[in-house]
Amino acid sequence: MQVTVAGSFFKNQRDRIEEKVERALKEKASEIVSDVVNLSPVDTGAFIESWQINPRGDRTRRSRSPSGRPSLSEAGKQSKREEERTRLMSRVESFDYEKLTGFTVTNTAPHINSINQNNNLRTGLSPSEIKVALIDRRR
Amino acid sequence: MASIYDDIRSALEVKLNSVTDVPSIAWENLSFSPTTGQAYLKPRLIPTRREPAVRGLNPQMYYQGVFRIECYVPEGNGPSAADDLADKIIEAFEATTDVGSSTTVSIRYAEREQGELDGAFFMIPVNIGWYIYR
Repeated sequence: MQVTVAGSFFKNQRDRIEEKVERALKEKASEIVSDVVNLSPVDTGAFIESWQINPRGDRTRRSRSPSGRPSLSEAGKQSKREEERTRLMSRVESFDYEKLTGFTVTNTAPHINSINQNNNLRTGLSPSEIKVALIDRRR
Repeated sequence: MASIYDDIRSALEVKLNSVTDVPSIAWENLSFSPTTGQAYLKPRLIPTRREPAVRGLNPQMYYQGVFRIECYVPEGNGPSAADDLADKIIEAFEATTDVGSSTTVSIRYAEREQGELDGAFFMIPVNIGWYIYR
């Protein structure tokens, strides 16, 4: 006697699991984007523009310098946050989730150390505090 | 009524202040000028979560965050002074213990990161994860 269970039998379940995994990954990535945008200090906008979210293995980095850029108005800071949220979210949407093995969030702003040493940030947290908050929320 | 964050901060800061033989402390939002050649600590309260602990009306709330303590020691003398300082703080805030009297803050974890040079100092950050239900 022989009982054969064909691969097609599992196809629906496999598709459903893959869909769930994709949705969970997208939610996690969106949550992280939201956190980095909300927690970032904004003055000229260079630091928040330097965030990058990449599929694991992609080493593309962003580095925006504040030199020669004026401080933004309060309304300008808010729209800069929204602009960067939209940019990072469209990046998240562009991931190929079937091949995705993880993702990385980076910020290689050239003035990251000076922000870390600034004890008088008017908005947001310092980069090292952002890192701590991101990790703590996901432990 | 004081903000719950005042109570949390107070519980954690009082505990830090009671640790024996710690150097000067650069309290948050108070002016402090580090003296070259002298160790100091820089604590920061970083709330990371506030959410209902249960469903329904007027639920008990769960608060979570990190009490980050940066341990600064003079540069050029090796890492051991900063290591000792970080160890002392980790011991005082050991995971699964509670701190505070009127407000009890529970410690989730106490861990350190790698040290790095920062101007005339070598600094090791210690992250104390905390939570409270109220």
